[in-house]
Amino acid sequence: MLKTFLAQESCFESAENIQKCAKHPDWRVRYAAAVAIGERADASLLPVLEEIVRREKGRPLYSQPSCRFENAPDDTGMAEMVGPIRACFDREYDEEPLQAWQCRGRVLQAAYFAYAKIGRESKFLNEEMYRILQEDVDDAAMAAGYVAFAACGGKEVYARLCEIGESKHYCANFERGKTLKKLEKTCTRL
Amino acid sequence: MFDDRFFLLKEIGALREAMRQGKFSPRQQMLWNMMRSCVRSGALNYPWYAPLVAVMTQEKQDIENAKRVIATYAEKLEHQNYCVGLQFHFWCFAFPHAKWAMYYQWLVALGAYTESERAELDAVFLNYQFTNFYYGMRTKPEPECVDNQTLSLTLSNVLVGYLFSDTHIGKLMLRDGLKRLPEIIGGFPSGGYTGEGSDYMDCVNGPAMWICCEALEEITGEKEIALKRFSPNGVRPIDVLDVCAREWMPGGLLLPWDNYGYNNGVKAPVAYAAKVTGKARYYELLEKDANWAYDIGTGWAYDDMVWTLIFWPRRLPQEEEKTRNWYKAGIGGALESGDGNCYLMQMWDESEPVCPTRAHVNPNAVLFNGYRLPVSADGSKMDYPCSRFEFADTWRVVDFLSMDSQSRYNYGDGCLGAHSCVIVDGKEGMRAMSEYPQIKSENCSVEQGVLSADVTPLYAEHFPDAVRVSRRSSLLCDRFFVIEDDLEFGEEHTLTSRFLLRPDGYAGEGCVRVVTREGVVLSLHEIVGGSEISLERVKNFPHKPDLECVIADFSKRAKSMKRLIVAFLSKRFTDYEAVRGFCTVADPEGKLDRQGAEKLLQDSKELFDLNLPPFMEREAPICPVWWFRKEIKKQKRRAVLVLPSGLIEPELYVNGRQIDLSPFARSSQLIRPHLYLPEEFMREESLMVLLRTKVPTDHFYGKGWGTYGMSGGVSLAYEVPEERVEKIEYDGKRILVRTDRKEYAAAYECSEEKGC
Repeated sequence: MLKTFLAQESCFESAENIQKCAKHPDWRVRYAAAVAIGERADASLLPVLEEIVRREKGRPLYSQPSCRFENAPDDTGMAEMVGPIRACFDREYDEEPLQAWQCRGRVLQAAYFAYAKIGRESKFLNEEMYRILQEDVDDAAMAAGYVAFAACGGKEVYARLCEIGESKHYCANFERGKTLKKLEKTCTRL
Repeated sequence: MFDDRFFLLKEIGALREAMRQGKFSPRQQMLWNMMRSCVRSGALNYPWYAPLVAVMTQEKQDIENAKRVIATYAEKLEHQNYCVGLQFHFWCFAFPHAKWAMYYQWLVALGAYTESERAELDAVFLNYQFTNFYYGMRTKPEPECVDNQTLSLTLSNVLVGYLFSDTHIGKLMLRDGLKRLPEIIGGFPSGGYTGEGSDYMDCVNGPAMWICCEALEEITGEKEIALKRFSPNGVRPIDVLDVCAREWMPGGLLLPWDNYGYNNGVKAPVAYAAKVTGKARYYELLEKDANWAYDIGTGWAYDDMVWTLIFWPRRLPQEEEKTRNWYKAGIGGALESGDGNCYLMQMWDESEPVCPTRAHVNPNAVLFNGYRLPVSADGSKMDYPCSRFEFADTWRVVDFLSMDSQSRYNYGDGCLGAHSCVIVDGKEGMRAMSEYPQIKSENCSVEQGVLSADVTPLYAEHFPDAVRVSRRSSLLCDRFFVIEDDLEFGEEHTLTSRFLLRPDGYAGEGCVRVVTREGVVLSLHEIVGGSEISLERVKNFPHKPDLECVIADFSKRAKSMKRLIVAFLSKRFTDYEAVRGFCTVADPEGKLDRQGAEKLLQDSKELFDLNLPPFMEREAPICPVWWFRKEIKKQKRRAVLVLPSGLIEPELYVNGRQIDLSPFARSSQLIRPHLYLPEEFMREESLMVLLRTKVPTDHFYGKGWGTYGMSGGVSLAYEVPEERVEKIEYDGKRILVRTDRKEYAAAYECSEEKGC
């Protein structure tokens, strides 16, 4: 974990490091790169951000089957336990899906928050965000998507979001309400 | 990470010195003995105690124990990534992660690690925080989200960020956490109650609040953060802690006003409140009502005892408050007789609209407690089958409880009908369907023993002709309560005053009597109203303490009416005489039979009081089964043998005869069984008591729902007739309650026709 952490830390030191870490094989480092882009709020890094999101698109983020645990329940009861605990899946899986299941929408969330900070429109990112909002699976990524739309969106975004409708997830739905309210005001002024 | 001091352990020097010089108070000594002996007997059974024990003793073996615990936790994290809980309820994992980071820092300050060990563990703690809980904090809408979840996430970022503020990522987490934390504290409702019930107040908000205070003092250099008002609502951390303390009913059980029902009180928030205010009532809760064998994850960490020891007030308060009654605007209040034997709580905290799984719909609900034992029923059915409050429109389907399937549950037991409230036209599933102020007015005087609130708006949403729905509760003669319901509608309705009570209940003329298994009697007498009374027994609700209840309804068709009910509490047993010094034998394999145990007990020189499992009382092997025996002298009367609470699969023999404990199988988790011994023992002058019980052997025995160990010791009492109400007279100005022992008379006038 030390190497991963040192790479994560390096993202906050220079834009060059961000560009390098955006392509890192470990999603944790790409997550740090996305957070660091948000810290810089530098529009020149928008293509890097797009690259980070593009990579997530092909990953099996949400296909995780139920897992059995030795010495612990598969719920919040595990939080207070110390261990030893072992996760057991129904069969052996390759490292890539295992990593994707650990990651879920973390990288996407960081990327969309960074997009919100940059505040300049990216058609690719907008389309990706529409897609995840329609899928209505990942509360964290969707909530960040709405924050980004509030920062970068206009009349067209407002219309598309109205079409997509409410989310079944609390945070996403809450941010949706805030975003629509903000965009409605912006559109009225336009 | 700094290593020149122990984070948040400002007074560790004094604490160590007190330990070394034997200057702990008796309670501190008991806590210290318990934690040290638990860790030394099994560090991975009691891992949450290990870091403090290491810091206190600085002994090699204790430090090694604590290092082993930290290493095991670090290894767990990789596997935990696949847990539904971590992915969908990340706040539960954030708080304990921050605690372990803090305890890791203590070991770093002890010099327990090499540079390379530190570098690797630093990376593990930081990375996990950053990718799970920094992410988690940012998921929660800012600044609107103010609840136990956001508080846990934000606080964890402040703590871990501060500990690692020599890194970029640590600085980032600290900056964003510190930005949100004051807003969250200040965003609590001004009374300090979030509406999430005792469980979340005691297990998350209270335990988070003292860390907020201590951490903010260390980070910002400000003093007395507990007493500081935070914007926007002007709430002070002490207000939150005070709600936690007010939730303790006489006897130590918390108010059952949420899904989780009755439970034991959590100690560290009360100890912290005692420390920072010096108020006697906090200290007394700990001394008189705390259950020291009970532990539960506070902020999902079993370190309540650790911080209770650390915060134990050194300055013992002298002054008692004049009254134990309390009232908090927008929340409710309690009336308590001077001797603590008669207690009523009335609540009018706002309920959660649409899906009231947290803040239940309980406008003006009343709860009774008599002789330090609960009499009312409230809570939920949890996973037990009970369709009584499953309404057609209160089903919900969610997909965040399992990774690949949906769960369907019914939240009807959070609605009006499952509470001791006024029900109109039998609309039990009533709940707010949108956000609006649910309380019209309140009028309370703790000095005069009066609590009153008008909750018409909630009823008006469903009954537009509702003019007034208010309730006033009064404590009279320091002995009985009067509950006055003042109801007015434009049209005629069936108006029911409902009480949910512990079994068993009996209806008489104009009266309902409930006699709990322990022998506490509540009689409810309607003196104004002319209602019909009905009783209904409900199985499998609520899940605590009895897994059943009695619903007593006082109903009448009317457009408007006043209903006055006198509530009188009495008991059927004498005061308790403590029985101490039981011969004790451990049964490591759980294979001893009665004869084998008795043989060993004859030679036993180990005497225990059954206030705690033996290995918690003093250093002894961690063993799951224990046998105890003692001959108890008694009078030639019907004896009531009072056993410890928290017994697990107990067997009891008195004078060689096995006594059936099954009636207490459920309630004994929280309440000491009161055994009215069979009449054949009446003439006996002594009782040879032999008790076998299992005890929890680690923090986690309760699987997250609280671990209950043997507590409270053994007592002897005798059966006596209860004080019985014979007649009640009310002439509009004065109430006279005549019992078989005494007359109680008090001035009482109904409230005016304008609500409370």
